[in-house]
Amino acid sequence: MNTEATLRSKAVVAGLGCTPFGVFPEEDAYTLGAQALGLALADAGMARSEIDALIVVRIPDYQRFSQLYGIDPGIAFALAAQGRMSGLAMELGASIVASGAARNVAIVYGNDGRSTGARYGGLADRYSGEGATHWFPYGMTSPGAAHAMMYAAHSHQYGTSPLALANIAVTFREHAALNPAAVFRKPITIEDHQSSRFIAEPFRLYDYCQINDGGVALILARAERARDLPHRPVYVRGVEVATRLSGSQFPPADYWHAPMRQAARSIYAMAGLGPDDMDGLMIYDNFSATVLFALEGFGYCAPGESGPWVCDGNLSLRGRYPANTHGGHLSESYMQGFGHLAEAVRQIRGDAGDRQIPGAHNIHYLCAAAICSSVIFSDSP
Amino acid sequence: MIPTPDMLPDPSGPNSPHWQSALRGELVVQRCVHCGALRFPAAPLCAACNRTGHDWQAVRPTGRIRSWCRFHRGYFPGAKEQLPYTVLLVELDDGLCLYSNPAEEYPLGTQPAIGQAVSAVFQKVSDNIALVRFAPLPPA
Repeated sequence: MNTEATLRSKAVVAGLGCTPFGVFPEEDAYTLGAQALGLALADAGMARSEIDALIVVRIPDYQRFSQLYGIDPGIAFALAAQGRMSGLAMELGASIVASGAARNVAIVYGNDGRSTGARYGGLADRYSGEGATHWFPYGMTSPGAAHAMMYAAHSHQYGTSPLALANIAVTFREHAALNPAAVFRKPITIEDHQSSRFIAEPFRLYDYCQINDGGVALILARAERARDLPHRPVYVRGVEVATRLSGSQFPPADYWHAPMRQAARSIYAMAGLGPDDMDGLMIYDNFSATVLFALEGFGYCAPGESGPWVCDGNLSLRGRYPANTHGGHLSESYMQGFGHLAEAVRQIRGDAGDRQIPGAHNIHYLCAAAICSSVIFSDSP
Repeated sequence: MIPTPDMLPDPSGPNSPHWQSALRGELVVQRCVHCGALRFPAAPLCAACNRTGHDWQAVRPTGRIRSWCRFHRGYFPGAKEQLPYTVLLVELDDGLCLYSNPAEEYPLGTQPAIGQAVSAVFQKVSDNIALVRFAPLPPA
């Protein structure tokens, strides 16, 4: 989409709600989403009747959710149960608010993947599309293997070291230790990462996200409402998406750099901000290496330089760009980007407790995937 | 790695000509009858010109290793006893990509060389399926 200048700070995050993350076999995606929405409404000081648009993600059916929750939004739809949808949901929500089609948009995410035994590989895998089954006799399956191949190519092309992956896993775990909501908080070392078992080599166990149950809800409202909100307003200062869906049967040879550069140009122009203005990053980390691709694609370092750049400590709370201060998918929980959006809001509000980034004015969410997406949250419009 | 029956394709499905040719030691893919663009696996529509209509075209069985990974986790129940095994991403000299395996498994501790030139080897794994695997070509 090309939304340059049209969506800047038209929407604010009026409400945020997160359930606990973990193993909740008595819940499902609907009840987890409903819990999160209840928390978000209370946070915003809104009644459910004020929701005039509903976007559900990973919750299969908007109709059943609306029945369960007793709401009649003017707009209601579901997005696919894929992590690449989190930034897209934000763009759609901000667009709906900006267009005037709705005043308040509830984005509700519910994930019961842990308790239902969601598997990301094997005979049911369709990560690369329906054609995926053709490669089963060769044993090829899973998004993890496709990303491992991207990392192996990156390592060959640029000399990227597995120590960069280890640094990412260790740093995010350090942050998770400061986050009471994180599922994995026990510190790990570079050696722990390097001695953990291979899954799809060159990826090891600690390169993979942590599948859990949970729900997250965000309520977007018109920016004019900002001063009436009970919290410090968090503006959606920029939001942009670019896809590389054609040819996505195979991992991209450019690590999605081209669509990310396209999204980056547009979002930085829209927000009137660039990488130098960011106080922290929320980086989609389905796998550790995805962080490297995103940093290069959105211009935080040059293509090929992300490995040494990460090893310099830039992503640490003590570094220049504290990243995934909640622990990310690798340590907090795999909430398909929604935990990252929630943490961005907490950081801008100053609600991040022991892991608060001092003076967090602008936080950048970035996602490298077949749908590359980016959101800039800011305390000023 | 020898795929178990649950991992095998339906040899009469849309890729049937590909599998039949593989049994004869030939690599064929779909070709758009309008614009000539190659595509594989089978698709009902040409992504280059958006028209339907295709035939099956033999392509050169040579290419280069674009990347690799080695499975240490048994996502397929039938492959659990055969871990680890290696999967290659091969870019053919005629431009298409294929996932495949090395014709001979790499010894542990060694790994495929990205950029290595390879050539197809057709390995029969059941009565009616031969897989298109790849072996390194000697330096030219």
